[in-house]
Amino acid sequence: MSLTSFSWREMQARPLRVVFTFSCITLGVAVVVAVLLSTSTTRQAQRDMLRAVSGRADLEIIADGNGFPYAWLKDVSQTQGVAVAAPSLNRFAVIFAGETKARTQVLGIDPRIDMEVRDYELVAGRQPAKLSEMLLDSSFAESLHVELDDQIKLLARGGLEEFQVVGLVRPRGSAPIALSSAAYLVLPAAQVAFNARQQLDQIQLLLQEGADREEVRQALEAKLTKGVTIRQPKTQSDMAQETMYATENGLHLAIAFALLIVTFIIYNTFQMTVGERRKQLGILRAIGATRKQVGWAILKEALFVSILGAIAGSVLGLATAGYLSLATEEIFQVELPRTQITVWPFAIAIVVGVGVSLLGALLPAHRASTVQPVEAMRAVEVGHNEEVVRATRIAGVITLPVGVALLLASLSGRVPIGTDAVGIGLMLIGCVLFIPSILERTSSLIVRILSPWLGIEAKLAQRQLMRHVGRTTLTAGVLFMAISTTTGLAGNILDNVANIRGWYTRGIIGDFFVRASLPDLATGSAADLPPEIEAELGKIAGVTNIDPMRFASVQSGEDSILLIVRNFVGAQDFFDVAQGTNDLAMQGLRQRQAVIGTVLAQRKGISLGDELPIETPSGTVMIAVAAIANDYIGGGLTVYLDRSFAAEILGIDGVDAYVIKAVPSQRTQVASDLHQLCQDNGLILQSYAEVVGQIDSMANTVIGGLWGLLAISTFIAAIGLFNTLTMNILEQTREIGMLRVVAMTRSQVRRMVVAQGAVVGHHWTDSRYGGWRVCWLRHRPIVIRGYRTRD
Amino acid sequence: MCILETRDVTKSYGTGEVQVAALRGVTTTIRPGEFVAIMGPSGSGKSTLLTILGGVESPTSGQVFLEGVDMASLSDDDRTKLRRRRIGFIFQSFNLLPNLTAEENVALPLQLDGVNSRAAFERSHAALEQVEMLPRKTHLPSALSGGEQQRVAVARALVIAPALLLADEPTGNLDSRQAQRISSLLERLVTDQGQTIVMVTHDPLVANIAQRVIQIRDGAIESDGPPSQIRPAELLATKDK
Repeated sequence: MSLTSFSWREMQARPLRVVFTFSCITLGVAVVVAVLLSTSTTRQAQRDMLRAVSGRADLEIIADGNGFPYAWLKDVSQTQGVAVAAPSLNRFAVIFAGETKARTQVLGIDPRIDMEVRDYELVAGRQPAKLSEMLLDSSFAESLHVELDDQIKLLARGGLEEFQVVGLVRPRGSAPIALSSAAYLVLPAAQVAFNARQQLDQIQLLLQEGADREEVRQALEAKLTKGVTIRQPKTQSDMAQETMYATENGLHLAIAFALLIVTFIIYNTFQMTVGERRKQLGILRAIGATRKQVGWAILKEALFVSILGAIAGSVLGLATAGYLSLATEEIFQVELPRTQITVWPFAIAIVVGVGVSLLGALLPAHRASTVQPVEAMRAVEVGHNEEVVRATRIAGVITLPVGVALLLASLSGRVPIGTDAVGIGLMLIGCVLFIPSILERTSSLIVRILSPWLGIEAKLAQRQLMRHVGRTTLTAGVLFMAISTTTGLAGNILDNVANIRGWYTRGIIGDFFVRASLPDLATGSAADLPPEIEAELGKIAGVTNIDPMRFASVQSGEDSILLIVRNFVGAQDFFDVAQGTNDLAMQGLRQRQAVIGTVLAQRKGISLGDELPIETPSGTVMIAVAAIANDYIGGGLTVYLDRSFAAEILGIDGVDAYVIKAVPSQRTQVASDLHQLCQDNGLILQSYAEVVGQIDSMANTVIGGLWGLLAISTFIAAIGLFNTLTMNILEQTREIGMLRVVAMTRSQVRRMVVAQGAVVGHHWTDSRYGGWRVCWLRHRPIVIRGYRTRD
Repeated sequence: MCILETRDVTKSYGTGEVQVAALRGVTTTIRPGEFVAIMGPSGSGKSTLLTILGGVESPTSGQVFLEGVDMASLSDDDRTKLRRRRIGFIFQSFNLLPNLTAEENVALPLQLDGVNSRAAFERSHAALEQVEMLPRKTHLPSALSGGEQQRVAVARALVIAPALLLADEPTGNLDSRQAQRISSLLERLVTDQGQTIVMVTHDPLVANIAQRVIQIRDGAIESDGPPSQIRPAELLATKDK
């Protein structure tokens, strides 16, 4: 407490520095809070959705392909150990409520037993009893402005049908259903709506008390030999998880780098603070402050600012989380619930924010505690440059190889692929630690270059900088880290955006797209189109080709993967091929082979010519891989099959979307006719330009965020440079006065300061190299493992 | 009975061939209530001796006893605690903390020692009263003249009721009128309160108020006796030699 006034007054004397430190912590904490809140909201929504669908079941039986016979339910129910067998049909459709239209996940259920296996509760009304009755998720109903007893329409494969909402349900737990919104019909009604009479998609099983899950599973497998997968319910969808993983990985990487830079800045700022206060600290020591008291005084300042920063950052993070959720909704075309505000993200952010600040202030505090009391009486030489150079070189020699080793281990697949980020971070820190060793040479070079313009001032500037190698290194280090990580991440994301653009210019070939609902990019699921639509489309004059597309979830070993079924008629350069060629891909698809996404190939360890196992109603089928392509649907866990082949082995039929080509000269008329057809049937019509515009809009959201990141890092780097130059000038006051006495003009003094900035700032160049190295290295694991991300 | 004793104290700076000996075998004693002036030319080692007497620096060899305790044998923390309880420092450049008011500067050594704020400020006010600075207690150092700052510094040194007051050129940065005022203050402390003071000075007039003058040259004691035994020419010679 004794030094509190001292610290407080010192902070008041440097308001700008305090504000800067506070801002850095605020930004860092805001990033942590925003990312944690946003990802926890998304994950919670996913979990709740899956809990509502999978519920409390001990086992589930899932169709491989397009459903399985309803008659199997009896066999399942009679299996030893099974207490409850709840059948369901699980499909997507479009719901119309007045003027509002939305995609919905329809569950055809047996209301008498369904609530025993699924985790939801009836909050209003009653269970459906008739074919024309429906249950709706309560928050979904709210968003549609639908109330109990309202009539709504459902567009499914069987056409447009009307239902009455007789009950509202809510999943148990804190969060409402999200990602998709659920509607519940009695099973026969769903079978009619989806043209799936006597079919089931799933059976959820509750086992008898004491029953052995594995034994029951084996008994069921013996009975149901083909066409289904019997498993323990998954808590998360593989594809959705894979899709979110890339985004979450990027966001977590952003957190790591933001915190690293914040630590660097706080360290730098407090080093300067201690440097500035050496004499005062010496006085404190002389009049009786112990080392511990002096060290604590510095740490308390960091603690005070960090607590304030953490509080402000939490508020800012909360606001930013809303924006991130909106961006997630925009990018993944999903509807998320309100941001789930739980205490954990804030607790973690505050602990991390305060921890990072204390970590950054730890060394300066130690340095403060070593100030000798004699410094109150006379200036003591403290700049041991040789020691700084030696110490940082040793630290660099340790850090750099560790980083390289981690990266190599990640490249060779010995450690998880995400470890490469840690490796790259350590490599960057290692590079910063080598700056003192090369500083003299590089700054001399810059001075030589600047000499024609700045003359002797540049030389004086370099001498001043070299007097404080540690401080100059820190500033250059902050500059290096800030710019390199930002350009690295920016390069990475821009590359991905370029990849996505390359992908859609190949993969989205068509003039018009007709669908019942927009597809879910995470799962690929969409509402069924009534089959008679194809015939009506064929009647439109000017239509040259109708390519029906179907998305379905299939099982490959333990993985749920997204199957994309098309005709691939007239397609050229369709895939963004990573292994193989487009010609081979098309040829293979026609010859009962598959094209698979890079992520799936990586997960399965599959190369060109290998075979991919797919579970089908008639057992496991091995399909030769004709090509491996970059894909951005379903997180890259995708397999492409020709329509006729998919129908043959998986019984896949139905259509999610039609890709339509028209005679160029008749496109306007075709558009008009399609518009009328879609309006009459409640379908969505999109032109190629609209689809591309939609994807571009997502990409632009990302690019906008990048400019923000660049602006922040430039701001941070500029403030770091400002800090160092200010410190140097403060120290040089007497020297500058002397130079003025010996006839240095004001403009020459200014040039000297500018030259200092230029010499430190030349690390901007290194930073860009560092940045591109980050970008390049982030791609290497995929490249090395045989799956490049772009041509 | 002595309050301070040094035995064959040496102090060297640097390493290897570039070693500089600042003190060479200094042995002396200071008795309670004594006012001792240390004089010598620039670079003679007088300030180094003062820092070693105050436990601010450790001698390279030899021993320094404060009230019988060998300061060299103490850890840094224990030496610091001894310093804040038993030794008051007055510096040439006042060394007040610029962002603390006069009363806060004076109370600080007590607060560092765990004295509660109320008691610390009461004692701070008493010390400021003693140096006639109480009316200026809420002023920051920047709002005080040099003489006033030095009086606050004296109050800060006195507030802990030190066994030993060490002053390093206390009048060095003051004009003659202020220097005279500080000299008188120090003299009064010795005569009225029996305060022990060891003062480094260049100023023969200031040295004249001391009871004893130790002259140092090239790190060793050249002479030690009352000011009257030192000829004015010698006193003057120490100033800029």
